[in-house]
Amino acid sequence: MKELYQLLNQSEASDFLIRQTTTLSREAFFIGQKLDMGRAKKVTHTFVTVYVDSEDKKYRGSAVKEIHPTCTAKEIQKEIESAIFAAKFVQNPWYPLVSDQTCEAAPQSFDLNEQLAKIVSGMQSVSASADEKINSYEIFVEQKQTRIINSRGVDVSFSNFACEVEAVINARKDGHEIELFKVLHFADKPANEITAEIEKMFLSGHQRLNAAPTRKNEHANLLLSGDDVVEFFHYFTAHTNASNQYMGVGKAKIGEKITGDEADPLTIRLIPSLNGSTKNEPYDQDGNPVTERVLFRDGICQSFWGSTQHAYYIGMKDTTSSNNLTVCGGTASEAELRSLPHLEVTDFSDFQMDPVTGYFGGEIRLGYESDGVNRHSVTGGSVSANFSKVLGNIRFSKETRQINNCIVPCAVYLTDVSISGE
Amino acid sequence: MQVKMSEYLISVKPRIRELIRLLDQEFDYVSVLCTDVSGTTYRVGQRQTTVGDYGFNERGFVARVYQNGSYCEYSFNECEDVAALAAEIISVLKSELQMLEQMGIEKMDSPLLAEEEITKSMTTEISIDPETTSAGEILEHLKRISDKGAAKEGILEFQAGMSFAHVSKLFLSSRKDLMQSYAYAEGMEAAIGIGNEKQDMAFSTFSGLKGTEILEEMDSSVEKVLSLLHDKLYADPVVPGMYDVITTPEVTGLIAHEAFGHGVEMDMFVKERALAKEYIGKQVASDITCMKDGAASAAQVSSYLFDDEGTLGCDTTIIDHGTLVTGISDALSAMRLGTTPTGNGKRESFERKAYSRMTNTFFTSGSDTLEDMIASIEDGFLLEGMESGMEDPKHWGIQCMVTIGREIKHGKLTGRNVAPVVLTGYVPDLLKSISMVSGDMELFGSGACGKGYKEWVKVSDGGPYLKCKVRLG
Repeated sequence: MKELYQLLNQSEASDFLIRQTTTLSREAFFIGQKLDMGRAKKVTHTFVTVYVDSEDKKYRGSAVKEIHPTCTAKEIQKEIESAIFAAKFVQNPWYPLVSDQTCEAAPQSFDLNEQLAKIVSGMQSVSASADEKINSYEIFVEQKQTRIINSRGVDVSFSNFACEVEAVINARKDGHEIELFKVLHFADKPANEITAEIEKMFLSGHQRLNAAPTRKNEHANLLLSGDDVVEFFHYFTAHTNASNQYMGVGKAKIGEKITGDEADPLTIRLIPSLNGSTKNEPYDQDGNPVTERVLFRDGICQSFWGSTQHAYYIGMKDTTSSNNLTVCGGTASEAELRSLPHLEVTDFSDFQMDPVTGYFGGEIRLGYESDGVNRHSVTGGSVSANFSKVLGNIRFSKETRQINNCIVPCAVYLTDVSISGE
Repeated sequence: MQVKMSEYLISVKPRIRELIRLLDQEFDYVSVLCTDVSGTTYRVGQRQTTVGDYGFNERGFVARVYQNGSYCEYSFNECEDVAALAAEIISVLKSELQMLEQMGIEKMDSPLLAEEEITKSMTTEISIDPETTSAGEILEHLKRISDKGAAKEGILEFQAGMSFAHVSKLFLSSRKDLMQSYAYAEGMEAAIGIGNEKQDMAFSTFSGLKGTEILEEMDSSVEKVLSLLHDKLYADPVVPGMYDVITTPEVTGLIAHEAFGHGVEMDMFVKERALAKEYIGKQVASDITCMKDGAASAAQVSSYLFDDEGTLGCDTTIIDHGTLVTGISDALSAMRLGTTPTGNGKRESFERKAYSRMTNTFFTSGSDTLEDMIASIEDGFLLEGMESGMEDPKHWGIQCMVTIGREIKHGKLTGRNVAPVVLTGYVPDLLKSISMVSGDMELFGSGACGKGYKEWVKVSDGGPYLKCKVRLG
């Protein structure tokens, strides 16, 4: 790192940034409850960004290159030179780098085998009845040590720890077997909670086995209550992102309401850290400290967030990153929302949300049709909707829950949504 | 020009041989995959230009070893002190396995891989080496494309991008010595615009075992992207229902990939996660339907000599005249199933596990013409452009996001369009409904394919125009 810093310091670059991450992992892959493969890794990645200013300082070009640990001095010199050469042809409006940030956090050391054993034990404790089984699962336990240095006095380092469990379960009825899939991301979760989350999948599995085909309805009321609620709320972070604002595709405007008059009050905050989240890095990729920020209060846009470059372009005084997110609950309880006629979708094949077009939807793996009193499970068909149509009277449940780095309402209620089905 | 093998991999080979020798003293099987992928991505828009490493760049190693009836792997990207590295690999992998054994964890039955002795190498050719083309020339070319697209009224942004990848890999074990080097390029044009009180986006992609010559292909596509964006902005929503449709080669590829390609990845057979396992030798599609996959089946971004487990690439017929012949597999899955590996063991990078993955997947051509196919439809759509898709091998469900549907009434395109379009259905119903197949053939290799929501790898897919029946929503 020291040699690389010196090389860059002596180069033609107007400025530079080095981001180095060393990752240690332990991984275990299971088929049923039997070990298929054990894996481990130790890798270091060093990315260099060089910045080249035009003579009149109106423009700033940049280029990013990875410098592999196995690069020879000659290769490093060549990579830096070619990055500087390319950056000279990039003419973006000038912007400043983050400056004068120092923080040397003592590297945290985790016993990765112990963490892996804890998760394996949680998964091995899952109890399945005769018509249920764990199909397969993969466990990843990862520790990262990051250091960011730039030519403007940034020198910060920090550790991060993240776990991932990808699980597939089966449920059977009358010779017919179905599967459900779930991914858990967390920094810390007791083994018994992992067990409980997987066992809950079996209940959904049986519901799917008993499901009727989804009925076609061009003007349905839709209740979203699965993990995809997180992706749904990313529409609002996308439209307050400084890059999207600069590109002209961000629709949120400071001081203006994004939701309609009949909608529940929408309040969204970015927060630097959240217990159990895998996204608690104290600095963003530019070395800028991550701070708390309100994006929307009662539906009115309060502020934007994003990279230092784009924040400068749109005239923001300061900026932050979107590590962790909280969305406040709405005015009605989940039970009250469920008492209205609706189609509740808990599992999509692949929920899609496109912030540019406002489209969202996907194929229904498991849902429930309800007249407000009686409900039955459904599967098949698809949801097709657009934010431009649902923001006017969008409603959220009072109750919220944490899904890794996001706290979101447990349920979202939308009207006039198109459902394809039989 | 001939693509050169990575000088780094050539220089490090003796050290990796020494590492294998040291690990061989502790384990019953040892192999090392060495990767060096370099490339650059250029992207030019009206507001911003970026230059950076290509997304699949990597340089590193993964050692696979066999101990106590199990395979274990260790990924690393430093190998200065080979003796210390060997000691670390032995210590880390043994302690992890020991810990799991102490917990009483049962292990899958994993026989020892029987490798044939083989030494082979491959290098491919491209016309213009991007490493000899100035960054300035590439950026200038992309700027011209961006400016041309952005000049049209209602366009918020028009981005043009190009990536180039130079892939070098080395696979070494006591019996194998394999080396390959190839290059490919990708291009992208994307327009964002407003109209009809909507905001939307349209794009076009380009790919192949090519160099900078891909930029010339991109020049002629700007009008097509702008026209597609206009049609999307002024499209109606689709009325949900079952329709007769014709799929363009891009959508045909999406169906090949999502509907059946993922469903015949044979690691899913081992896990009993794929319905296709029960249908080998049975009719799964109409008798005019044939489908292939293989690194040796086509010349596109996933064409290679050997996969990431050192198995030579194949040309695999998956569906032959409607009958499911075989799946595609990695080495360990094939060993457990008692089949022959097909050279489909691929990794996202040296840092990730190998799975059964697609390479170049496509329906083969037939003899119908597009004109006859359109004329045969009373009420349906020509489905054009792919956005995304999701597999469901266990239930043979399919979800494809298609860019636009062009209405066909009484055998003619009406000029009315629908968007967005979600194509869903039951795979055998869809494949058995294929009633016409055109003589065209086109493969698309931009973007990446995931397994579930991770493990992104390069693949290509495509085929001819197909006439079939699907549910649209």
